[in-house]
Amino acid sequence: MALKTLIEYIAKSLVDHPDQVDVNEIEGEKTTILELKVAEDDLGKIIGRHGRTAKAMRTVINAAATKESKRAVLEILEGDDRNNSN
Amino acid sequence: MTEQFVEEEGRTTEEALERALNKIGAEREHVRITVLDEGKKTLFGLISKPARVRVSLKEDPASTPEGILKVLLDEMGIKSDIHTRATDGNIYLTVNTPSAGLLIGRRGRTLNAIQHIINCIVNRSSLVKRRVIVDAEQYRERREEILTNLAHKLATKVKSTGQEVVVEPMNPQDRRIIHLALQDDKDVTTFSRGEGSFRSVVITLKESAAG
Repeated sequence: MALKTLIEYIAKSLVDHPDQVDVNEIEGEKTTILELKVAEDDLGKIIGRHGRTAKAMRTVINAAATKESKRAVLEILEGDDRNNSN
Repeated sequence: MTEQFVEEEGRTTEEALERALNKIGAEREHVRITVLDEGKKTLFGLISKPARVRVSLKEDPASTPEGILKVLLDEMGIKSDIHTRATDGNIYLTVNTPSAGLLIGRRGRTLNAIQHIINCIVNRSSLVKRRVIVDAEQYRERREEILTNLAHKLATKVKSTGQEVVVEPMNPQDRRIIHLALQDDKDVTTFSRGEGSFRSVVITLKESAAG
C-alpha cells in the first residue's frame, strides 16, 4: 500500500506548483500520519471550498488504510514557514 | 473539445515538423502528425514548394478522467476495470471491481470523495468545465431508488400526521433526489434547512392543504 504516493499524486495533480509538493509519511502501529506540504498559494486548491477537497483526500486515504486495518491522518502544512511572525 | 494544432513549413517535412514541435512545445510521441504537403525540389536543390506539416496534441491517456481514476484506484490498492461514457458534457466512469464495498464506502462517502477529487483535477486547468460522475455496482442508480422510496414513505407520514418530517442530513445530490421525488406531489412540499454537512430536507404539508 502506498498512501504516500497516493497523496503525492493527488496533490501534484491539484496544484500549480507540483515541484513544491512534499509528503512525509510517519508510520505508527495503528495510525499512519501523512504530512503534506505545498506552496503557500496552492493551499486553497488543496483545502478546497469549505475544506471539501481536504476532507475528500482524508476519506480516500482512510479507505486505502482500512484495507490494512489501519487509520490514516492527513496534516496539511504550509511549505514555507519562515515568515510565521508578522 | 476543439483540437489544438499548429501548421509549419520547411524545406523538408522533417524541418517543418521540427519547427511545429518547437512551436507547440511538445515531444514527437505526444503529437499526431499530418503531412499536408511533401514539398517539391528542383534538380539543384532549389525549393519550388515548401513542405507543410500539421501537428496536433494527442490527449495524454494518463490525464483523461479514466486515466486519473485508474491511477487513484491502483494507488488505493483497488483492482478495477473502468468504462467511460460521455453524454452532453458529463463523463460517466463506471468501475467494475471486486472491492466495490470499499470503493463506495458508507453512504457512498468514498465514491463521492473520489468523484470530487477527479472533478477538481479534470477541471483545474481547462476553461470548459466537464462534470465527471463515478459509479460502481450501479450504486448511484440504487441510491436513487432507495431515496425515492424513502421520500414517498415520509410524504405519506406527513400527510397522515400533518406534521413536518426532517430527513437526515444529506449531500446535495441526495437532497436533490428527495426534492425531485416529491416535486409533483399535490399535498406536500419540500425545502432544505441547515448549513453545510447538517443541511437536510424538510417535508411539510402544502399551505393550501394545511389551511
